[in-house]
Amino acid sequence: MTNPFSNPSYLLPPLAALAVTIILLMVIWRKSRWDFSSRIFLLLIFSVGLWSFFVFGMRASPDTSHALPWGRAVIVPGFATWVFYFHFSAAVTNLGKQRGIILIAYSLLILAAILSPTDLVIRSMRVESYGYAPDTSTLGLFFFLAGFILIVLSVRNLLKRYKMSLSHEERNRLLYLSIAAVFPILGGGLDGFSNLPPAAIWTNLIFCIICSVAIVKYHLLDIRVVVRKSLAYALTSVLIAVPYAGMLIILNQVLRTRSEPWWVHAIIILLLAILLRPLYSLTQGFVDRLFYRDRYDYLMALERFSKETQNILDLKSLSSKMVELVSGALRVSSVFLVLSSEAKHGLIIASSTGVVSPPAGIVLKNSSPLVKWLELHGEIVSSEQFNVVPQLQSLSQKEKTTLEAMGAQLLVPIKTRGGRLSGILIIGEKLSQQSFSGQEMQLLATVSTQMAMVLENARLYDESQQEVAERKRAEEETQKFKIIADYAGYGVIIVNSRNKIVYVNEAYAQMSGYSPNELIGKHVFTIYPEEQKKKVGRLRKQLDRRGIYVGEEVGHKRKDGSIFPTLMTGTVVRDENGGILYREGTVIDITDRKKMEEQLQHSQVLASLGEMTAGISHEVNNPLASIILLSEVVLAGDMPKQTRRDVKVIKGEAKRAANIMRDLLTYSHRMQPRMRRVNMHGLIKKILDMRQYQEKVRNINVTSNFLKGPLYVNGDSAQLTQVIINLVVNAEAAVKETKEGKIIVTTRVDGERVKLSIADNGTGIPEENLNQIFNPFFTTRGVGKGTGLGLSTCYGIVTGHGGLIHAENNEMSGATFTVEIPLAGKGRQGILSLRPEEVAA
Amino acid sequence: MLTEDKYFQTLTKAELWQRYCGFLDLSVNEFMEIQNELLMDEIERVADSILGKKIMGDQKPKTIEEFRQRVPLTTYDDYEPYLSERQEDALANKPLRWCHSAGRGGRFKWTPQSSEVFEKGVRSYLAAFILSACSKKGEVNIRPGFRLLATVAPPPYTSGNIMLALTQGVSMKLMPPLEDVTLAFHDRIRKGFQMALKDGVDFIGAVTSILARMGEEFNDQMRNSKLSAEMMHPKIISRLLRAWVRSKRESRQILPQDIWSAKGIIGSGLDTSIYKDAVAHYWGSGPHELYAGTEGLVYAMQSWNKKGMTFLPDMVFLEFIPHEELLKYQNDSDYRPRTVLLDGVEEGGLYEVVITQLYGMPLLRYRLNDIIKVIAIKDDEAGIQLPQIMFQRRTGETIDLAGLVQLDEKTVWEAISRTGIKYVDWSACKEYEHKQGYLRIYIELKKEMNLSKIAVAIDEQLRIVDIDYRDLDDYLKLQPVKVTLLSPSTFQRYIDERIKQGADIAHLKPNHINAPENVIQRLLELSSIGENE
Repeated sequence: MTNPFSNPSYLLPPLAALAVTIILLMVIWRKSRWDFSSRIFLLLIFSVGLWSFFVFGMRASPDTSHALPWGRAVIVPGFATWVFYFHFSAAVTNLGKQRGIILIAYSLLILAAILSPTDLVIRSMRVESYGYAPDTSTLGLFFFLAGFILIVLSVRNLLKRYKMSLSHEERNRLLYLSIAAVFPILGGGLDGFSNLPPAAIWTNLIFCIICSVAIVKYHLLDIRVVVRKSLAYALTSVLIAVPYAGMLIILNQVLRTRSEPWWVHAIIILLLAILLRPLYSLTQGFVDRLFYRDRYDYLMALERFSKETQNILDLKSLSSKMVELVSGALRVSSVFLVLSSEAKHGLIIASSTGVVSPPAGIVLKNSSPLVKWLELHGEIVSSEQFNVVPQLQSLSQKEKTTLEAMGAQLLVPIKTRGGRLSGILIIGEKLSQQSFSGQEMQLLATVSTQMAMVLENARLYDESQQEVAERKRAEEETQKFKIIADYAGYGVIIVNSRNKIVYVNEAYAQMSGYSPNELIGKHVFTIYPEEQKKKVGRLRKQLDRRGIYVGEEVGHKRKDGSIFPTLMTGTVVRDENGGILYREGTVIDITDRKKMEEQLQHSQVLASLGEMTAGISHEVNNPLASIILLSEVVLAGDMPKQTRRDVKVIKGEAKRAANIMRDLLTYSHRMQPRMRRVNMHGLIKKILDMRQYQEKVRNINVTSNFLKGPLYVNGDSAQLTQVIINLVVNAEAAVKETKEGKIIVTTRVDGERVKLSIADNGTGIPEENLNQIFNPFFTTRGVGKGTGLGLSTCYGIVTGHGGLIHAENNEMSGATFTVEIPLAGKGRQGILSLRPEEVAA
Repeated sequence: MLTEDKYFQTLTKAELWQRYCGFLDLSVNEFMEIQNELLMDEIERVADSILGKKIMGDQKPKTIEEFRQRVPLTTYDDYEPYLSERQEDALANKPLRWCHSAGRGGRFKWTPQSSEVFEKGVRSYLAAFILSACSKKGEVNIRPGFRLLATVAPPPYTSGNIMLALTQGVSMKLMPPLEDVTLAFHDRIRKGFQMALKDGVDFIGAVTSILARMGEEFNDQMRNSKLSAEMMHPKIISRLLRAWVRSKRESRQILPQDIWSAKGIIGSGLDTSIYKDAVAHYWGSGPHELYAGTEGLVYAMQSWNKKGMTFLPDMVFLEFIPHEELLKYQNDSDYRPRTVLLDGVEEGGLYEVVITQLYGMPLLRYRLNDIIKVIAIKDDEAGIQLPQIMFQRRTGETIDLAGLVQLDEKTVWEAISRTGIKYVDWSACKEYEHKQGYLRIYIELKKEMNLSKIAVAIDEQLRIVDIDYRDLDDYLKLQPVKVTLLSPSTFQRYIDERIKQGADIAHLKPNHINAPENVIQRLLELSSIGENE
């Protein structure tokens, strides 16, 4: 036998243990939560370290006399380890009523520390085959026994807490701490009651490592999984090792060699790996079923869930299947699937199992703190958390009562990929009355993710089905309407609940310039101009609220973008629950009516003005004539220069007043035109020649786009001249401020009318004035700069000729005045063949 | 097993912290969400009750905004005679108990409280115990079975009802026990301390000024108390011996902290901030302040750093009338003051607290007449995101000087304490001399002092604690403080007289501020009797 004292395998273990404890100390120091229990645990590891150090001192001693003090010193950290372990278990479990035991334990530790240097604990040191061994006294055995009792009490504390705890992680940690205690008991037992080599140093080390893992990262491993996995691998190894050994024996027998070269082993292992592959898989499956029964069941459940739900698209059947599967897999008293209902602003039960009459109506409101919590955190909530989390403590009484009635133990959020909470799986208590394990929670979390996807698909399918059904129903309904509506003398538009046009009749199509197919499927706002959308929105609200609106004036937009006024009446079609199916509108185009109204309004103005003018013209013209006449008589006589000038002014102003009266009579058609055949081109050219000088002076470029040849109309040449002069002079005035004034005079024939347009590049007419410029006395010039009768006179003359006059702003940013006069009957044939001819004036 | 015991057994420390003190981790939005949810639940519950209809009308408010717009601010008179006659038919739910106010506001009030309120109350008081005994977030240093020495009035006073609920919710030893209701208040306190001497104490709950006074007078009491047979108990002897050794080691007289090392002290009363140092000196730990009341049991509390108080989200629905709105209301009683919610308060602002009871109880938009000050919008040191407040005063309990200064009890009290004058008690009011208003303080001293020096000292301290007062003092060039000394034992005589008259506990002492004229007169008469003796 070799001398154990010079054997590294005897000396190194305590040193290695010391090194490991130092590392553990540092890890715990840095990583733990640094609470009271962690501080005690640090002391525990420190004691183990000290223990290892003293053991090293003992083993390194040259003889028993040197080894004895070290051996005695070991007593103190050895016993302290178990005292600290007990104190640690009391602190970590927080069970209470441990103070007495802690006090006794620390008292014994002090006693051990006092007595350890004496021979009352360890009498002497002897040498065994493995090294030094202490001769323990009765008191020493007492301390040994006390240490054992403390370990047992500690394990009892941990297991007691394990039973009470509902937290899976805490239970796992407590299991670690309890299992760790087996090792020192084993080591201590071997050292104390057998003659085997000392094992405590190793078992203590294992104990410390397991405890450290539990403290620093207790959720690192699931202890049950570790144990089962180890056993599973051991079994698999045995199953492979047996045929391997058998093959070796056979080879030995066949080859009759005592030792095989290395390549023989390599080939055998390779062959085994290939041949036993199916066996390995079978074994693995067997081990899985044997040792991971629950996990296996869950995997099966998950697989079943995936298989059985993937082809169901009907939301109701799917909900029912889900609830059934979850209930079967977890063996729980009840399962509810509550789904979000937009219409009801909350979650309602879609399916349930385990209850005879599930609660009706809303289970949880959308505004419920529980719903918000689940949506925000996306984690499973247990009913215990209702008493822990501040937000969940404020659940309303109604919701609390409902959840209690449902026996809710777990609430599993079902969230869509977008993070929206589409539903909650409410799980009742387990039939075994046990708490839910980590694997079960994991299963639920996985299932909920799958559920979310499957439900989302089903919901989309359901929606699309609904849409198809709705469209079909709409088509049937529309067909009935179509027959009637197509022959109606007014427009009909039908819009669905999502504001999509589902029908327009031919009449509306004609009004708008769209074909019916171009509008169907479009949003209803397509047919309204921007400025009308607000009004349309208001009318729609009114329609939804009251079911009808009548005779509302609404502008519609044609395909070419132009706007036409309509009179609309709206009604609404509802389903049996009061939900809106369609909104229907009848549309009457009132463009002509509007024009007529405007003309009527204008005619009324003219008529009243004419009446008034006719009435007063006689009364005013007579005195004016007298004034003019008498002025001329007076002027004929002698008088001072100043008086003559004044009388001339009187005469001039009286003439001006008489002219105004004449214009008014003209405007109100009281001056009858003397109609004859007149060449419009001749008139225009004459006037343009007359204005040529003025235009040159003002740097105005006049362009004439005339049709070739004469252009005859029936009219009063004097009055028509007045119109053209008015318009040309107005155009000249409009371009006055422009650098390069431009006037374009155009004639053309449109049907049976001559169209004369005079366009300028001046400042144009403000939109708000366009409707007023032909009104008498309307002027934008300053006071005294115009009577406001020019254009109104033109209007009177043109309409007196059976024509039209209108104005609009043009692309040159100026205005264009267009005069339409009926063609004279004789010249019409020739004119139609004429082509435009540009003549520069 | 009692409800809270079960939580202490089954929950981890982190979960315990979350259950009891989790409100400190809420954001303002989360706080408001809880408030809104509970208010809607409350509206739902009370809408059809007689009192609910009386206050809210027949149409139930559908939103919080509608509730605040439509429901008027109320006072106790709006609920009369239903509450003072304790008519439970007028309520939405049957209450668990009726609580009796101390009558500090000038009248006794009965307020019903449901079992849910008491459950939340117990949870909140346990939160106060935890916070009073910890020095950092997450530290839970208590467990069921703790010993509480509480100088509270018995049920049906609110404080007594809370203690009753506590003893029914968690295993604890209350000293003195509530069963000793026949004992007079002073005897109950004495008995409590005797029990504490034997059994030790984990927590002390009391009005802070009483604790400070007890600390001051502790040595005298120790010297004067006789060693009865009860005192010869080994536990008491060992406790006293330990205290003696401790005091000798520190070379000073025995202090309460030598005898009891309480984990936490829960202080109530608006004097808490004034006496916190004295309490810490005598009792070894500063008081943890609570803002509590009959109508909601507890509204706010300090966190572990013992600075500002944080409101609880689920005891009552909270609204606040800004100070400027109060002033408008004071000028025009028809004016309807605007309120803000907790997310609308501003740092440095003074607000009157308006509460709506929750869990089916009847008080809606009820004016507490308490003025609080928002001292900070959050507490970065403790990581609290909610506004931090301190109790300022009750409305109307101020002394107006020249229309420029509003002196409240807290200010006068602080000024007197800062002078270092040893006094028994005091009472202040406004008096006139040559049409000039001034602050008159009637004070009973422990040791004789020069009268003019006292007035000067108080004036000096008032200048420090109240800027407006200093400005007024500088502006008017006169010292608006006058002091009347009361002869020794005047206040004790007054209290004895009131006890004989059968007065209630809360009405034994004269008010500190604006005591009625007849009370002041009686104090002066009793003082002159003392002088003649």
